Amino acid sequence: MKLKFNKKNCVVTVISVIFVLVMSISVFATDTYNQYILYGGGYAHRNATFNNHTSYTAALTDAANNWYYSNTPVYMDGTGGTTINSNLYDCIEPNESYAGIYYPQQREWGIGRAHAFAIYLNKSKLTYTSSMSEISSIIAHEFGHAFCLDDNPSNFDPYKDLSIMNYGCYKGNIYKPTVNDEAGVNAATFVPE
Amino acid sequence: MNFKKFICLLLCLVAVVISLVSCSSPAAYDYQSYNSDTIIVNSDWIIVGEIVKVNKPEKINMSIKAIGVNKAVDPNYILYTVSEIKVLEVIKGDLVVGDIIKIKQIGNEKKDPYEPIIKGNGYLKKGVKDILFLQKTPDTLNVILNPSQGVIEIKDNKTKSNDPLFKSDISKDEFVNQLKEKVQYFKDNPYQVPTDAPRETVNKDFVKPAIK
Repeated sequence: MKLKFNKKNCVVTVISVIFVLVMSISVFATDTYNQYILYGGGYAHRNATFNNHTSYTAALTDAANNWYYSNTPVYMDGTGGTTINSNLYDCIEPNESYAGIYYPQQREWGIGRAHAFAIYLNKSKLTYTSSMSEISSIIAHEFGHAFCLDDNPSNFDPYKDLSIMNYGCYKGNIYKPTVNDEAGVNAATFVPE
Repeated sequence: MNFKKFICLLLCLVAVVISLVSCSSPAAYDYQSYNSDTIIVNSDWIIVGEIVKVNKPEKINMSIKAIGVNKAVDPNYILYTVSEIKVLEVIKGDLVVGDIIKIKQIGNEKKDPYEPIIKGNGYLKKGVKDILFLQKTPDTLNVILNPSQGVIEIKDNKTKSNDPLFKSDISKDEFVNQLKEKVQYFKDNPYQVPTDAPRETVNKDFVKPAIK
């Protein structure tokens, strides 16, 4: 069969391209009722297994528990075990002002959902005015990325509900997932166990 | 398969790959949020500056290295936009008027915009005057303390900020004077880290009995 390079074929090609783009982008759409945005580099599984971190035991425990006891299917296992799929690291990056990084690893097709992840806490930023609540809030925020939530600009609008994924969550006053975050995680899909 | 059909298929494949790559999310970089006191305390420099040059975006190797791990776990070639700023007024720090400093911002407005910057006052623009809360860095490509909180534009001699931390439409001189007073106050009375307020906590032991 010969495909003619005519108007009709061009239109079909353009429509196909638009369809693919729209389908790819739709996963990032914000829900108009609940304030969340889904994140494409989230962890593919709903159960995160990790080792303790001696410097931040209380903050890590707090953050993990706040997710575990949230109204979502996520499961946090801090007992270590043989299959650690997430790690919390300290790093020192004096050339940057970020406090935390979520880094997806072992990604599907190199760009999709992650099968492991690392959370980095920038020690050069967490030495002075950071309380344990703030650090707990940062870790809970990074776990939020792992559970497919993107940063949420809702704190720019005082009339909208808040989220652990707000850009401004690190005041220590939002330290556990809100209903918006729970709605986001419940809207995400995970590999069936 | 003739040549034209091949071209059509190739175009479709390229479109699929581009759409996938453009939707791929890199690492998420997250910043502390400050209140009107802690942003002053944590800034190395607070200046009124004019953006004199915005360079083309470039990838800088940050080589994030986890402590206790022998090699760089995730070398990060991060896309940055580096701008050059002329210091017009010094509110805090060891700069002098007329100094030119460099500031890097993650991403680029057209190529790979970083959402917290876009939602704040946006990327630095040539010719615009801003009040900037800055962190001095060893690589001399300094950074804004918080990308959405740390930039306040000066427009018609009044402040303009999209972040709710500082109000807009305040006279620039009045705002600068308020900042200078606070800087002096914290110099005379070092900032005390507030202790955590007691709050509800859940079970402190995260050993889980069973899958939910």
